[in-house]
Amino acid sequence: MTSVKVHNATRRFGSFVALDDVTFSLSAGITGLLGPNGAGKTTLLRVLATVAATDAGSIELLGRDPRNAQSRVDIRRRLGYLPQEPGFHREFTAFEFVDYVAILKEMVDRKARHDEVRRVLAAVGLANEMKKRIRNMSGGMRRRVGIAQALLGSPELLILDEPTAGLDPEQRLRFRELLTARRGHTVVLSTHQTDDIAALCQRVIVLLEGRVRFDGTPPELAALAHGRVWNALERDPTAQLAWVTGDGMVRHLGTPPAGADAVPPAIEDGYLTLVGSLHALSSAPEN
Amino acid sequence: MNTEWHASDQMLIEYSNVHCDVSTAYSIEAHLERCQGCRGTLARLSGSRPEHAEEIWNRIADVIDRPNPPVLAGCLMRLGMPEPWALLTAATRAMSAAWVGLQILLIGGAVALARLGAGPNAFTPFLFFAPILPAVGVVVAYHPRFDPAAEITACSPMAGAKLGLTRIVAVLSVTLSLLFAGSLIVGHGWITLTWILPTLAVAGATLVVVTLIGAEQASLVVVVLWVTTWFTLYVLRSPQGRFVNLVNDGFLGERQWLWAGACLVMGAVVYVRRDRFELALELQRQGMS
Repeated sequence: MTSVKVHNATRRFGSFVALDDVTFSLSAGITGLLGPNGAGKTTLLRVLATVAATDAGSIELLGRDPRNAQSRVDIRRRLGYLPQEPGFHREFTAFEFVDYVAILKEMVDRKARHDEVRRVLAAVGLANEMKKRIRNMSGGMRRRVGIAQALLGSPELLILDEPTAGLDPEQRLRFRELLTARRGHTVVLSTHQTDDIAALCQRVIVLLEGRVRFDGTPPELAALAHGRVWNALERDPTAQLAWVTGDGMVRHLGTPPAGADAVPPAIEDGYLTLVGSLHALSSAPEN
Repeated sequence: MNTEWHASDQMLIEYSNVHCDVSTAYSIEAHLERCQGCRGTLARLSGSRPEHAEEIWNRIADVIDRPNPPVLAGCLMRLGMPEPWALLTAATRAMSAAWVGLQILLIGGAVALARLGAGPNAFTPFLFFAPILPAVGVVVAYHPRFDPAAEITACSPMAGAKLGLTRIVAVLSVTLSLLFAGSLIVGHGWITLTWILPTLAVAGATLVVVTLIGAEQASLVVVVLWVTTWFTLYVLRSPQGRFVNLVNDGFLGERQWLWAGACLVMGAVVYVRRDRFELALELQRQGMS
C-alpha cells in the first residue's frame, strides 16, 4: 500500500525554490534521501512531517490529505519525526522529555505511557541514562533521545532527518538494527552517509536544487558510475575526482584513460557521478 | 509462633486478588505477620500465577522509577488538573520563573507608583498598562522561539488549538492573577478592578490578530495600536485636558459595557478561528519552516 504520495510539490522561500515540482510515492520500506546541503531534503521531510506546507502540488500521507485539519491530526497520530535540529527542554531528563512528547502524542494513561517511554529509551541504548539531564548529555546521546521520541507508539510513517549524525560506530550499527526490525512500516531518512543508505535502504532518492534527480535502488545509483571508477598508482589529473585510499592506491572517478581497469562502483561513486554531471550540465555555456 | 487458625487457600487467593473485604484483608494481614506457613502458602499461590506477580512488580517499578513531577505540575495536579495537562502546562515557557518574575517586577512598579502617588488618578498608569502585559504574554506562550522543542511539538496530534490555547490560557491566568493581586494591594475599591474587561478584550484582540499574522507581529501591532489609539483620542478630544482623565473615562462607568461587548466579540472570533492556532502554522508564519 502506498503511504506517501507527493505530486508536483513546490515550496519557495522568497525567490529561493526549496522544492521544485517534486513527484514520487513511497510504500513500506526504508527510503534514503541524498543530496548536498541546501538541496531541499529538510524542507521535503518537514512537508512529510506536516510541519511545513507546499505552495503548489499535492501531498497524501497514509491515505490522507494534510491540508485538512482533521486529517492532519489523524496523520500525526501515526507519524514519528526526528527534525534535523530537534531542540530539547534541556532541564528535562531523557525520561521526562520523551514522556513530555508521549503526552503530546495523546498517550494519557500514565502507566502505559511510562512503559512506552522506557521501551523506546531502551531501544536506543539509553536504559541506564533515563534520569540524566539533557543539558549534561553529549550530542550523540541527545540524538538518541531524539530518535527515541520519534519511535513512540511505533509509528507507521517514520521521518528521520540525519538520524546518524553524531552517533558513534556502535550506535550507528544499533540504529541500523533497530530500523531494519520495523517491517511493514514506511521510513524516510535523509543522510550524508552513503554507507547508511547501502546498509539500510531499499530505495534512494537524490535531490539537487529542489528537484528529484534520481529515484531507484542503491545498486542502481551505484551503477551510474559503472565503468567510471578505476584505481591507479598515480593521480590522473583528467579524473573528475581522485583520492588516495588506505592501501595506497589512488581511486579515480571520471572517464578512465585507455587501459585502466575499472573497478565496481560504490553508491558514493554513483552519487558523485550524478551530482558532477548535473553540475557540469548546469554550468555548461548555452549554445 | 503457632496459631490455631489458618487462612484457607481460597481466602489467600481472594486476598492476593484484592477481592476480599477490608476487614478480612486486615485479619489476613495480621495473621500473615505471625504465620510463616500461611506466608509460604500465599507465596506459592501467587507464584503459581507469574503474570500477576509480574504485573504487581511492573506497577511497583513504575512508581519507583517515574520522576517526581516538577513543582508547578505537582501543584496543578493537587488542584485537580489531570496529570498530562499539568505536565504540558508546567513545560510552557510562559510559566517560567523569568517571565513570571518580570511580570511581578512590572506590576510591582505600577503598584508602587499608585501607592506613592496622591489623589484618585494615581491608579491610572496601572489601568493604562495592565492590558499590555497579556498582549506581550501571548508571544511568550505561543511563539515557537519560546518552545525549544517547537518542531517536535508541531508534528504532534496535540499541536492544534488544544495546545496553543492551553498555553495561552496558562499565561493569561498567571498574568491576570498577578494584576488582580496588584490591584488589591493598591486599594481604591472597585475602581481598581476596572482593568479586567479592557485587559480581556485586548488579550482577545491579540489572539484574533495572532490567527492572521502570527504571535510576534500580533503582540507588537496590538500594543502599538493600544498606545497610539489613546494618544490619538487625547489629541482629538481633549488636548487641553489631562490624559489621565481621558483614560479614567475610558475605563469607568458605562464604558465597561463596551469592553464587555468587545470581550464577547473577540471570544466568538477566537472560537471561530481556533484552527488557526496550530503550532505548525505559527512556525510557517514566523518563517521557521
